[in-house]
Amino acid sequence: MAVNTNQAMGRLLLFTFAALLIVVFSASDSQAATDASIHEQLMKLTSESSAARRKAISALADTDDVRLVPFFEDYLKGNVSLYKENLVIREDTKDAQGQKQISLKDALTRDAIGDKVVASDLKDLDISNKERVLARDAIMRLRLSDPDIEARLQAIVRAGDSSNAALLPLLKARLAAEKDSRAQIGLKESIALLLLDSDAKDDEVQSAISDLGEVHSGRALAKLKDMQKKSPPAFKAGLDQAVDRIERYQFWAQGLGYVFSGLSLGSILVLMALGLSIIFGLMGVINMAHGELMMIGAYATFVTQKAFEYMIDQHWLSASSFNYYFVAAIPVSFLVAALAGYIIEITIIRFLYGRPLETLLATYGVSLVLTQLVRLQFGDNIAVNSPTWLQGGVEIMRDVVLPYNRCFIICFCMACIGGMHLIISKTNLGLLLRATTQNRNMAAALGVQTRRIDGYTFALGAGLAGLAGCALTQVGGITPDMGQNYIVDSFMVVVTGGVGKLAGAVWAGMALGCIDKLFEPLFQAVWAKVIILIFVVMFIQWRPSGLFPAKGRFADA
Amino acid sequence: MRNPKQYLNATLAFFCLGLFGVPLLYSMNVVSVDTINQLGRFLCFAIVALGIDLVWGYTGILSLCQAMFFTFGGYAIGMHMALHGPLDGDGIPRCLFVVSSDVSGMKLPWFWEPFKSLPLALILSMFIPGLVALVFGFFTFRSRVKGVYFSIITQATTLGVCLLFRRNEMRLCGTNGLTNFVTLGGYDVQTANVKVGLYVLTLLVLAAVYLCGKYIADSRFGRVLIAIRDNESRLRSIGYRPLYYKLAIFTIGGIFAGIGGMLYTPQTGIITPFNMDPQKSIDLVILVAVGGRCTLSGAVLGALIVNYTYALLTSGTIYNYFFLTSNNGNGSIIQKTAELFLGPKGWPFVLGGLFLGIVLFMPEGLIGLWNRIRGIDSESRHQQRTPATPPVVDVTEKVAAKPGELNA
Repeated sequence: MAVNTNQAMGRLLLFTFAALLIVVFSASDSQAATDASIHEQLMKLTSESSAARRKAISALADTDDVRLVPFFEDYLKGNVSLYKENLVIREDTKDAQGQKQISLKDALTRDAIGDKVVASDLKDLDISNKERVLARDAIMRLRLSDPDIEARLQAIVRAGDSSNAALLPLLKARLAAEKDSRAQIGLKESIALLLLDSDAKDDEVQSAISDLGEVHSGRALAKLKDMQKKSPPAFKAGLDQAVDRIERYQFWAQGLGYVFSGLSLGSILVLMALGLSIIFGLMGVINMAHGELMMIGAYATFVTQKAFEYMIDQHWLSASSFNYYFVAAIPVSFLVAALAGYIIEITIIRFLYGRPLETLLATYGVSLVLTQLVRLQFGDNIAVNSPTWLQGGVEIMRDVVLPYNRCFIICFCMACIGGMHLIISKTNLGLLLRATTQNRNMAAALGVQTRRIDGYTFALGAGLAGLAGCALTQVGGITPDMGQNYIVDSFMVVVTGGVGKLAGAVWAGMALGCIDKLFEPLFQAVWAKVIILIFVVMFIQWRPSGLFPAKGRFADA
Repeated sequence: MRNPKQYLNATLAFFCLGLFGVPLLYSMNVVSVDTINQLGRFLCFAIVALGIDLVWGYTGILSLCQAMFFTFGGYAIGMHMALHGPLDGDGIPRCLFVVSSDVSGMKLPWFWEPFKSLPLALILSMFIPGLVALVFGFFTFRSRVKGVYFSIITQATTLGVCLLFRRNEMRLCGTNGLTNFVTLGGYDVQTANVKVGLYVLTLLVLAAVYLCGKYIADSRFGRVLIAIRDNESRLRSIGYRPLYYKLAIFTIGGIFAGIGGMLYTPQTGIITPFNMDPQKSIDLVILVAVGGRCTLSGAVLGALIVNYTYALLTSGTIYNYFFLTSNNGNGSIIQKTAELFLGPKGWPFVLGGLFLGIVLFMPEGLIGLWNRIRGIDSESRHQQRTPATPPVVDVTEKVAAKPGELNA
């Protein structure tokens, strides 16, 4: 029995192996076969007869081989030549001595051909205008059948914008063959756009208009509005409907985009405000240098990036590890900012205990010094490169792209809020922090070293600001005075959310971020800011101690 | 203030020096007209500082919107002067004309009309800041916004108004501000005599404002203000209504700032929204802190000293005096350190150091230091004495707080 099983297994394995071999060989076989046929067609481009050349171009366009796109581009530029019975791509370069050189590449595979040649070795091809038109057409067709979906979508959009009605049959054929839903929508849109430009029959135009409305084509909006003004009344109803559908869709799509960027702005504000709020709740101190601590976090990220670049230069790290600099930058920016905060606390704020207004002025002095120090050290404007895994975005709906960096910031903020919540509610430090915040004297009487707790809390809040700065490098430029731009906003968050409350800071930060970004397109950025400031000042009238006021005997008299 | 006679003598001496000595030196060609002009501008800041001293030093309200009131006053007189400067189109001041988008058929905005008359412009430059302070103060003080909350709200308001003034569609000349001034009340503001005249006028107004502030500070009203600073809830329990006192002093502070701006604009020849940058307001507070809170002469002294230091450092005068002329120790560490603190780039360090040093080591400012040397007890010491047990004040006033608040 056992032997039998083994034999069966062996046979199965053998069979699988053979089958695999056949597949591999047949695949490479078919590849070789297509290459040969393409080659044959390519050679026909050298023929004397224009008709034969045109036939060859059409045949090449039918092969759907993307490698032909660069070939045709070179063909149009006149870079394709005949060399030793082969088509090659020539490139005029200069060598180190400034001598003219001609380097050759294979027409299809674009492998370099090492031969030393002079101009007389090469024979240029004859190209007439008719072939140019066909070649351009061929590039379009080949691109439309590119297996890479992004490249294909680009080609589809370009075809729709070309106003070239001759592409219609091609696009229709592609639509029939297309399987990807995004490409299908794109094709429909492009076909309809081309139909609007062509002298098609009325019913075709009408269905094109309704198609455009159906796919919420933002590209067609301007054209449709244009048609609304001068087209015959027969189209009126259809046009109105289509424009209305597109506009409504765009309204919501944009709104979604604004809410999203509002959430990411809010996340940064929340990180800033959390630190401010905890410090204010514990010590009654307004830290005007909080924005500068954020700036320190951002510059710590920058320095980490520079350190990675240096280490890669020295070959201590592989070049691919550059992408992970940001992972290292997160703890670095937290620690650096926390250290700076701790130093500020033990050298300055400790001595201003119980004098909140003076502390405000002193920390403002600190912020001036820090800003100028960084300005002298780093100059005015520097850029942090996003790691590749934070570039790009995900398209959740048509025309609604969520950039990865903003997604990251939101998730990062959530993680930090969660971390803060755990620290405050679960750890020993959190327990002592809450005790000191609620009743400093009683906590001190019970043996809590309140001054030490002050220092740790200040460092923690500063570290949060550093994390905010680290996150901010991914969406904005960093300058020495960047803290000033965020400090007033984060004060607003603290004031609106109430002091020393995680939930208040989170809600207020997110709300203010979203209001800011939603008002921005409606009223322009400055008015949005003014409206928010007015809103907050009014809000304070209504609820002087924020969204979540204290109740009971601790409430302020 | 315990020795009013001595301070009166010193103040009078300074006043006479400013009123007679400086023009005398000018006529003897010892000081240039630019120096006098500069001094005149510093005196404007002294007027603002007097207002801040009354609001912050006496009442304990740290207002960060005094620069806004200052700019309101400056804009009021600036609009008047722009209307009597070069005009374009249909009587549009040039500074407004260049930033307006609708060039053809633009009319003078209605709110520019009242500023055509000088008396009205002068009244408005005090009335507008006063009114804004009154309304804003009423709403914030009524809901008992105080302490750092009030500072933050005023700072935010200043930022908002600053952003508004920078918009071209507000028809207040956008970021360029008001410029191209030629005449004020028929006098050419560019001439030396008018500049000296403006300086003398500023000095007289400063004296009037000082006397006014002194009257307020020494009156029963002034005692209530100090009481508000030291313990507002206790005062309320006794039966006072701090709201009206705070409102009154905040309005007076706003008017003082407006007067400062009104005198400042003709002397600089330009007023822009950047004069009310939120930072500017905090910078004004340091004037009072350096001189000494709760002493009016300290406010004036601080304004002059800080502004003069600023002028010396940012123009590089001190640095050049020590290092460029004598040319010794070129490139040495000493010189580099000196450049860091005495050169134009060093001003933020000096200002930041002033904030820290004053707050940490000299909370009563220069006057307080002087008093301590002479063994005189001053008003601002009261504040130090009252919270002999600062933690208690803390718990009831600010941290006061909020049971289980960090339980998120």
